[in-house]
Amino acid sequence: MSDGKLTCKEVARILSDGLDADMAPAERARLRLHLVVCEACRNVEQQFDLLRRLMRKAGPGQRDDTPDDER
Amino acid sequence: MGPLEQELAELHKPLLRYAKLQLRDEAAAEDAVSATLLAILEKPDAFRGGSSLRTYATGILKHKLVDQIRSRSREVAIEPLDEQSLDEALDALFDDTGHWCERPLAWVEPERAVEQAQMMQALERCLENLPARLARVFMMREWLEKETHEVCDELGITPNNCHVMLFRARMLLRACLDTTWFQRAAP
Repeated sequence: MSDGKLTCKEVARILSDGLDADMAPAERARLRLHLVVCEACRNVEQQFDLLRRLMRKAGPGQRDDTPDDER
Repeated sequence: MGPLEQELAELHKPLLRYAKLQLRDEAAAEDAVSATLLAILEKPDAFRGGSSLRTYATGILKHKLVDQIRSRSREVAIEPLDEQSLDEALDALFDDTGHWCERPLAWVEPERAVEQAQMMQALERCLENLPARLARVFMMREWLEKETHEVCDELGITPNNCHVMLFRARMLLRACLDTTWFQRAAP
């Protein structure tokens, strides 16, 4: 951490925190730098985003809830 | 039964399933759903059919769930979180230098409606398997769409703890969905 670079483990936490609170510009820049060079963490960012989008759509209307044996 | 009652009867179970996902308490979930159905039956004219009854009822349910959480969050017995084993499990995803042991691969979102619905079902199963405390916080944030500070306040937890719980929930859910839906080998 002495060179200011983030690890993937730190990035995962920062990506999550970024969905819940504002991020300082310097922190955001360090995050973007890591994402530019790390495909795995870009995938995690995409996955956290998808989780959010799916949850916003989720709800009782999203599928037929009646089990077959109750029709 | 009139047509409205018939439709509500069909909605009862789906609403209850989501109420349970959020509250993790059978009796409280029943209460919230009953309050929802009652609110609709008391003012049937308020539903004008602009959206589906399902959507309308879900909107009311979300409000009732917030009410339930406000009145009961500090008294409902909820399964305690085994923080140590959870942290160990998350730590094990990374090597000593903080890199992923198994690098997460991109998810390809399904295009067909059938597959999208199946993916949603997989997510619901993952939510059911999430530790109760994490699920409650995560659902409040992402399904009830509460601001983080509201989630912390309503549940009486510190902001830092709130962020940690949301992080753990997201990590467990991404791993679960990755394994069960996107068909990667379990880590």
